[in-house]
Amino acid sequence: MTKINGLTALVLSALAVVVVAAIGWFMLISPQRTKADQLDTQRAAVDTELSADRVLVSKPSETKTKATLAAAKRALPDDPQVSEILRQLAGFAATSRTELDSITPAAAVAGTGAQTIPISLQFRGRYFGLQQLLRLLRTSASSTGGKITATGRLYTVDQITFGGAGDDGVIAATIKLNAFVYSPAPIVPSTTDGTTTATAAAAP
Amino acid sequence: MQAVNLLPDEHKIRAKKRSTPADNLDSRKTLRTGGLAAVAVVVLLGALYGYQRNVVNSKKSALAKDQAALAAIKPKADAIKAAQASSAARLSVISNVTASRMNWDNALKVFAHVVPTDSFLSSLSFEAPVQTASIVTPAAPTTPTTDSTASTATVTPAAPPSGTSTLTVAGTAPGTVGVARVLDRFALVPWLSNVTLTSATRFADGAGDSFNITATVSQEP
Repeated sequence: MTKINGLTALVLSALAVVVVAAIGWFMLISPQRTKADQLDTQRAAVDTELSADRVLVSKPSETKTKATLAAAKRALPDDPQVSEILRQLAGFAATSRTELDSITPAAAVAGTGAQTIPISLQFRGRYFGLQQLLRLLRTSASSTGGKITATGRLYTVDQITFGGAGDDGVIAATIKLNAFVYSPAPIVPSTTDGTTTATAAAAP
Repeated sequence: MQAVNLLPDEHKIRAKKRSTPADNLDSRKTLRTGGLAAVAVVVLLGALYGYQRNVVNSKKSALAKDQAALAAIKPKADAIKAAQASSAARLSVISNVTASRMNWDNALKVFAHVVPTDSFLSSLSFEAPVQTASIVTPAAPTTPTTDSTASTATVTPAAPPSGTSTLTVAGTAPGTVGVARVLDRFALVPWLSNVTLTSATRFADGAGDSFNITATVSQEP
């Protein structure tokens, strides 16, 4: 065996140390560090989501969301709920001291974001009773500043016709109004729903 | 002239090779030291590896804990998010409708104020300048889907549409001058234009005039 001199031994030793250190670093330590970094990134993402979700499910936020949705559903329910419309209109008539002679809902018409239920309303009452009835229809549901205020359904009035005012000041009026049903995607209008004619008389 | 080295050969080599500190190293000792250094590096790397593994494990367990907390809270949070999306979509529709609909009670209040006390309206026919059909735009029907994402769809609020309609009123006034006063008063309403008298007829008993008036209604401010 050839005897190596001191310089060669020094170089070989230094090389061995460097090789061992490099192998150890790149094969053992570096992957662990990379893994740790990846875990940090993952945890940051999970923590962000968790914080956002915690705020979301916190009592005040949850209560506010539920209240907003309840108001929104009151104004714009998921299904026609014609019975609810009848109750509300009867209530409005009683409050405005008018008498509902007939309520005739028509088939729902599909639209963007909502279906429209046209309703023909015939009633008798005084001019200011009619005005109050229209105010009740308008204030039943509205939105201001991105906030929904709803005690009942959302209504719009397309047409008013009245006449026949006698000496007693009672007029017979016809109102064409619309109620709405929430529909996230346009759907085929129902042919079996909302075509009934209801006749209701409210308390004077 | 050329320089010539006259030294004997053995002296020439010795002169070329200068001695370095490494030449004096004991190769065995050097290799042993190098080996020990390598072992020390291995030990150091092992310790470092152990530490890093420990760090990774603790991060893994922290992540698992957070993921478990997230998984526990997620169904409730998702339900609230869906509720918020549903509210936003409904709010969009309600805002569109509210911004465009006619304030009828105010219109009737205005009529009550503008009609002189000695005149009366016997009939009125009035359409909203903006019909609901143009607010909630009819869309092409599609087959209903059961896709859960449908409930989170949002509707972009559109600019309120504008339009005009015709108001037709009939009533009685005390004479032609009374009818003229009714016309003047209606002309004062800012959202009424083209106030036109269709007819004015004196009653047989001469107690007053019946009148018919039409006007163009633009969207109330």
